[in-house]
Amino acid sequence: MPLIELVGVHKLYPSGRVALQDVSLSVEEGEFVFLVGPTGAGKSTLLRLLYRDEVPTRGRVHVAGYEVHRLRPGQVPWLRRQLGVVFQDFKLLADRTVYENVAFALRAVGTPPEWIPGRVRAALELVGLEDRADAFPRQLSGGEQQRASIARALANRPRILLADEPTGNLDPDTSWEIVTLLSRINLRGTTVIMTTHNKTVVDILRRRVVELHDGRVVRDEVWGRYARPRAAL
Amino acid sequence: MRGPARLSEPSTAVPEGIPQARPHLRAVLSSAAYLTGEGAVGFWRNGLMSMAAVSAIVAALLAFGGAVVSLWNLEALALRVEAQLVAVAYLREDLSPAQREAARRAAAAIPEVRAVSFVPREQALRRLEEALGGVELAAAVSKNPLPDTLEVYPNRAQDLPRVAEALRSVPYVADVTHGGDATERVLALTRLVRGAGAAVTLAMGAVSVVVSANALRLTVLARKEEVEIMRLVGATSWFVRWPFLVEGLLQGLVAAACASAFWTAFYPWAVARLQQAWPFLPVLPTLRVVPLLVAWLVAAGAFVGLLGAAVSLRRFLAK
Ligand SMILES: Nc1ncnc2c1ncn2[C@@H]1O[C@H](COP(=O)(O)OP(=O)(O)OP(=O)(O)O)[C@@H](O)[C@H]1O
Ligand SMILES: [Mg+2]
Repeated sequence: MPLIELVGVHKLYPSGRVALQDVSLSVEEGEFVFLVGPTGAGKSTLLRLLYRDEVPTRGRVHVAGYEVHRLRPGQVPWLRRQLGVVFQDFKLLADRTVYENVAFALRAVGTPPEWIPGRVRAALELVGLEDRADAFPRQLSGGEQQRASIARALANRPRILLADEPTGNLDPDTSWEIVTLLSRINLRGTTVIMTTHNKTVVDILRRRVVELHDGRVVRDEVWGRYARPRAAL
Repeated sequence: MRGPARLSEPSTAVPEGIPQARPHLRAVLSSAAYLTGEGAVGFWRNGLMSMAAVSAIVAALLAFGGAVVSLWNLEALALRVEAQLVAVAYLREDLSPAQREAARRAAAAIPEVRAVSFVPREQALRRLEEALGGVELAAAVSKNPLPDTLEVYPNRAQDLPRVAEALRSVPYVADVTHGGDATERVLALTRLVRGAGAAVTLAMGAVSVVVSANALRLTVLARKEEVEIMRLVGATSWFVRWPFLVEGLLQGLVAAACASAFWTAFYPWAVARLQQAWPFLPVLPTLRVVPLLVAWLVAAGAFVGLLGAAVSLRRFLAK
């Protein structure tokens, strides 16, 4: 069974907006997937269904063995511990240092205190931020903040990393840095799903690309590009 | 006809083999200690907001204490007034024991009488000394001026006037007194005040919960981001709630300490003032009031803080 599987998923927001229609998708452990498509296509919604921030109106969602579409609220925390999530705006706690931000996430899942320093160090080394452990988020560049948020997402060693436009706020060079980092993380075995509007990055990396359009999967290519190749090219 | 049996319909949404994280006791204890610390840190970090919450609870607890103290004293007063539902028959002087016994029997034989007790003049003098605050009357007067009395208790308060009338024809009785209508009216007033006191206490309690919940709302909103992150990475809901409950509890307890300090100082002072102004007003002594009051304030403070936190969590951390 794939690590992530969506079958016939529809998502209708209470506002009446249809965000996903009949989406079926499966992702094997260890894959790297770019989720692309125009704004409003439903990319963020799809990710939210995976970490159970939203529930599908219809269809089934399987993640890491959990039947997410019928998970009771009390079981959601155990699902979330299988996933790390990263956002465009980092969501770091401004009044805590980088170290404390990562430790905070470990604490929240009941990690024994004596394991925490080692886990935080390891996560910070992985993202190359061990020198900035005592800095506050406002003292960091955007790229460094995103690396801190990736360290937080990975500290608990999840099997899956979901990244919703992680380079959305970053300049091209920094974006490239972050995507390289995500690739390295993927090479260590973590399954990565990343939404993006960054054509350059997708076209250079040539990984699996899933394109959404008006809530439907319109393309799913193993070594894809950002845009569907035109007939003329 | 039934469709083909589903081959693999798992009975639960949770996969087998994935640790359902029944955490060890040690890990739970360390989490509990950590979360309690977080609550304390929150209380400290939210300095101004915590002060606002504490002041609100202190104000409520002062009012609560005031209501409780008044209620206790009124109840003591009511007990005294009820105890005075009695007709007193003064016996003639120099009766023989047999004559006194005959008078007692005759009084007890009145149909509406529940009990009769004989109060010898020596005991009456001692009571008077006590009522006057321990004055040595026996030493001051050469001869006890008080007569022997019969205290006659009616079955019901409204029987009192008839019992008093019947006592007048009992042998060896020189005179009869009773509170009568006045007693009835005092009793009615006491019942009214008792009800009002309880109502005021309840209302104050409710107000303090609302005030505390609103103060804690600020705390909850201030930590909204933290809660969002905790939920995102998979914290359980008790883990999310604990620090807020601790913080609410701390606010309640700090407020209780302030209110207790106030009442410990204020009550003896107020009692002294009252007794100076109205020496015969029965007021409960400090030692009978303050320890119990402190216990009540601590319990009420803790309750208000926890309830306030629970209300805030319900309203502002829903989902
Ligand atoms: N909470 C919500 N309530 C109602 N409608 C929503 C909600 N979230 C998203 N939508 C709508 O659902 C559609 C899909 O939104 P979604 O955020 O998934 O798109 P997206 O592909 O991530 O877009 P972008 O590239 O701009 O991030 C949009 O039309 C959006 O307006
Ligand atoms: Mg989006």
